[in-house]
Amino acid sequence: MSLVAEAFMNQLAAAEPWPENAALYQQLKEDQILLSDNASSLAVQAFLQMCNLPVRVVCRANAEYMSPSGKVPFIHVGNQVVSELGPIVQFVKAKGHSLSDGLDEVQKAEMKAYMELVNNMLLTAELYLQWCDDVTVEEITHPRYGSPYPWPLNRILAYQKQWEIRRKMKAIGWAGKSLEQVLEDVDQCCQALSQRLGTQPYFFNKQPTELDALVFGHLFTILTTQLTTDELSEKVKNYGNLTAFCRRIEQQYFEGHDKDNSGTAAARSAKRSLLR
Amino acid sequence: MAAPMELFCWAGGWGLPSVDPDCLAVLTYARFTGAPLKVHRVSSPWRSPSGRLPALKTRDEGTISKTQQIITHLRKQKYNADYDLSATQGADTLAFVSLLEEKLLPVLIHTFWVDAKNYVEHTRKWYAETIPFPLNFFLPNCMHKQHVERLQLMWGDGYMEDEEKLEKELYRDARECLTLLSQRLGSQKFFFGDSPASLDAFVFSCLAPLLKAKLPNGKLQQHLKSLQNLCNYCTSILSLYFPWDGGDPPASAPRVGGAEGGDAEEDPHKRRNQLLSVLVGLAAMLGYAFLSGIVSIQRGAVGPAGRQPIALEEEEEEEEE
Repeated sequence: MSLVAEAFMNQLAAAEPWPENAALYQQLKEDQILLSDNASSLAVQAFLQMCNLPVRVVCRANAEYMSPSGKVPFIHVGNQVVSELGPIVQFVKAKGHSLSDGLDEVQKAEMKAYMELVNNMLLTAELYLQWCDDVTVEEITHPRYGSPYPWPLNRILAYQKQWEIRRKMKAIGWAGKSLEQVLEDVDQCCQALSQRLGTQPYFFNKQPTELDALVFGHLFTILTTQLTTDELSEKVKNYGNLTAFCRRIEQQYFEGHDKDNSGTAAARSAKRSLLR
Repeated sequence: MAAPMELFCWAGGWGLPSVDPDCLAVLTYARFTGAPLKVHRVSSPWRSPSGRLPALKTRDEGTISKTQQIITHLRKQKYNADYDLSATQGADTLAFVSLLEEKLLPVLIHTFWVDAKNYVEHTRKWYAETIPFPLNFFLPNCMHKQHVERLQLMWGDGYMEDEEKLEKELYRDARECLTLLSQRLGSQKFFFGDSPASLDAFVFSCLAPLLKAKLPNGKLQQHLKSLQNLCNYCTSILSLYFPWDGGDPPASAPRVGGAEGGDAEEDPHKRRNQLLSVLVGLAAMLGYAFLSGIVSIQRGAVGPAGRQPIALEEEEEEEEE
């Protein structure tokens, strides 16, 4: 699409208000979705909840292929399809809703930097654990990833994805890392986040921003997903203020939502171990 | 007192002590902390002990090749630039380094190595002139391919093929990153007050090549030049920590001089190459002559005996025919 056409479409998007039937697409929650995709999806859901924009979650086995960028989640609003948290934040901003307007320039710089930290370290660590750690790959990832498809397609798709992710890990220099080093990095990242959060309710004091949504998405998923070992969630549990942060956001933005939508509540409680 | 460790890094150019961002980061960090390093500025990775640059040769732990690991090693040896930072500042360092690595560094690599005009007219030319014969024929191309593949894996095929999309989204993010850095720096001397930290080393290593290189296609460069505080920041670090090998070094190692005064050195090399090729040609012809028996040397009487083998040869040839 040329630049002029894109600008025109953006203007159109801005003109329309948020519809009632906005949908967020992700993979099947019970059987198929993996740790990293679940984290990204939860981050977007949290962000939209914080902006008070209603969205319903639709689970499809081929969500990854429907997405324009190949990554989940993506939202279908009106006749526009936008994927990944960054573009979704901008799209929502074009419609007039923004969480970070009240921040000054330095704070905006810090917010962007911390979001990149989460993407760079937490997301990559999740991908590493899912696709490069042999035990996890065999016991969890392969069975889950191809579960909606018949044999041999499920094995082929899983191997294809694994090969793609491993090449990417090599390109960014994570292929040579051992599991201990990756957990070390996760610990460093959590320490940095914990430091930044301190005793405040949100990262930028009183109001939540997209950074809070992103951190919540990843940390909550890590804390509540059962893997072959508990080491990853133990790293996060070391930091009390981060677990309290997750609990606070869950209670504030997802409790009410869960009461309306009993399907998601049941699904989430199947994995939940946070509120023990 | 530890014996000086040896650091191998790419040679300097364009007014910088080293042209490669990774090498520059390590060099700058070492200068900030005053670590005693013996720096070898080499013009090809084959000269380094591990085959890659930068490489740190230590006494106890062999050779370390990754930038982050080198800096960690220096920290363990008590050369720590982040000693005075508070925990929050340490967290900010991690965050901003991630921002640089995700948003700015890939676009920087693209500007220098993938963008057609820049690569052909500037980067490849410099590397081909610096790297010695015969590596300079294939090594720059090799590096170019490696970088293209890396970017392809990071960004996906969609961006690499669509120039407009690349320009619009990724370069825009890079420009935003530069603006954010400028806002965070403000009017301070370094990012965390008056003394430099590891974040300053990373930021400098990304910004300095972008600022100093004379790129033909320099949109990102222009944006950087419009951010006055970042330009001043780079020049002040250069003048404070690299005062003598920032510009054209007249009296320093001949290798570095050779890289920049390439014209002066070209003539003697050319003559030497011509002489070599003539000698090789002569040796080949003589060798063939001896081996096929057209000419042969016999010990003893020179005159008549010399003619006999030739006569014999002619007979043999007649017989063969």
